[in-house]
Amino acid sequence: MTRRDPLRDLGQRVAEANRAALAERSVLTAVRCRLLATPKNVDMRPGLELGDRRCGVACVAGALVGLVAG
Amino acid sequence: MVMPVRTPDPSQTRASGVHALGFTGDDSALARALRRGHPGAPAALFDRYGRHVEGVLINLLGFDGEHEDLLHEIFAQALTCINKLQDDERLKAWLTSIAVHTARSCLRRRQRFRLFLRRAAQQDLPVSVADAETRRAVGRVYRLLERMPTELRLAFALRFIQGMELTEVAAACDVSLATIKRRLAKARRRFMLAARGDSALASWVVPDQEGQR
Repeated sequence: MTRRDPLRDLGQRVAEANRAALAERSVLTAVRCRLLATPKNVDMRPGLELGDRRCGVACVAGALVGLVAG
Repeated sequence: MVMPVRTPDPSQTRASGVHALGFTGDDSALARALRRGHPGAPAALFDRYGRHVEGVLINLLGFDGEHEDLLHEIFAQALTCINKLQDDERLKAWLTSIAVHTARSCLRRRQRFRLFLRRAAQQDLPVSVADAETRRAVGRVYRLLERMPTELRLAFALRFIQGMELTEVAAACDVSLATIKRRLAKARRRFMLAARGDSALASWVVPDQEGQR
């Protein structure tokens, strides 16, 4: 008798639920438009968020400007 | 009896007949077309593998608010770095490895800034696609994965949720087969330990079947 791996069963159930959810909430159309409409296909994130690399760069730049100005 | 034949309106024919040339061909041809800048190649790449990459991303991270940005980032990176693809026939595997790399960066960024950021916007599965028990259990699976080190989590999700072969997981994570086996063994132990004590997952993991690969 073949014993079944519970983690594979669990994984399959999760994947199945994800697939079903993707059928409803897929972002393919939105991403396709965004990707193909963007010149040179550059990353076009809407805004700056804490944790974003650009935010760190902005902080460092701001601190340097502050130091120089001070 | 002679059936009337509709003659097409010339203006409509002209309007509907103007389409950008699509791309047809296998993965090698597609990769070459991308390098040469074929106008239809980026769309063909996305149409061919968008669904696959989106699936990988969701299986790695679960549903969250960032998945649109990440999917865009993966394809933007692929289109920019197409010259780095060494084996044109492995286009799909290459895209998968970019997806894994992007998910890894995202998870590390979240971990680094978890004290300052609000909890990553993990979304529940839509009510219409699963019953309450399944939605709760899937949510718990991703909560448990959040507590794992990033590399273990990625290996676990690729192997057990995405259902990839060991060699494919190793290639996607850019490590040796031995390393991926070690990581999976660790991830399995950690997950089983946590899942056994979780009421939502108790019926999903059967304790006496643990230990198999």
